[in-house]
Amino acid sequence: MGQNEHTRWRQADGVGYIVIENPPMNVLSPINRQGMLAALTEFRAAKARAVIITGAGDRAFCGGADLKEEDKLTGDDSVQQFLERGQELNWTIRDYEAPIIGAINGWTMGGGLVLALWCDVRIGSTRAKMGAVGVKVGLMASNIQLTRFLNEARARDMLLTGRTVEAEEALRLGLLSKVVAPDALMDEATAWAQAIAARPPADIARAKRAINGARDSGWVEAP
Amino acid sequence: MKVVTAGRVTIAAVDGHCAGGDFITALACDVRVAADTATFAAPLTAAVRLARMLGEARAKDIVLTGRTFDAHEALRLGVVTRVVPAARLADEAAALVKGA
Repeated sequence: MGQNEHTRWRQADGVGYIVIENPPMNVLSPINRQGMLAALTEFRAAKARAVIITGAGDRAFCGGADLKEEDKLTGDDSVQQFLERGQELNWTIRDYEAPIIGAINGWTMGGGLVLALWCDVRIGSTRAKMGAVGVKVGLMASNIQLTRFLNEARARDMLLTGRTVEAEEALRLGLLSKVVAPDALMDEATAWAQAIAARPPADIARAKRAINGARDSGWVEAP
Repeated sequence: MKVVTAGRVTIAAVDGHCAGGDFITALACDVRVAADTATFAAPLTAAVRLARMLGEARAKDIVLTGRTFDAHEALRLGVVTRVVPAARLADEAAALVKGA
């Protein structure tokens, strides 16, 4: 269990819970990233079998990455470090042995959409709203992820318009696996986490790795 | 579940609960059709095949939880391409094979 200024985390019944709490829009700050990495390390040591990430309150899952950081970037080194810091959390989520569920409780935009897409599974409330808004400020963040998740036509739609996709459309596109009422979201995410937790962790970890590598491996290398 | 073949084309006609080895066999077929009463559960060993067929998000959803889903969700996810009333399943598979 723990917290920092923008993040809090706890465990219950073999499931780790991380809450992004940075009002008003739960923007992802460096403090968040540190908190989430600390939480994931703690959960691993306690052998948690699934992790749920959500946003505090009923407005936003994660409204974006903190762009104020970019103002401070000066030379090539700091840009490189900025990109690496951002990627460290994403790769930790991807390589993490336990599946990570995004409980999408509201606005999920830009860097927040990137975070949600790195999760293994996404469950949303009827308030979920997702958008690849980078194009509106001259940035592109989720382009690779969306082109892998969606067919090209739909990826272009979202990336080039930056439009908001609401819960029912997100379900239809496959960006969410299920949509429930807002007050049922955490129970639903917990039920999914418990279904995963009931299965042998080594098998789950192997299945996750296999799916991560599926597109890029040849038939000979597939486990 | 029955596998219907014509030459080298194989069609899985799924009825009842399709899990484990049956699920793998169904995935190995070219086409999958289901009775509207059929249910499915993906075994872990289907992970790679499902990721390539359905994409990562849908594959992780059904493989990591192992949850049971019905024929209509199977259609929506792309696990099957056609759902018919149970009584018509055999005719549907035969008609597909005839066209092959």
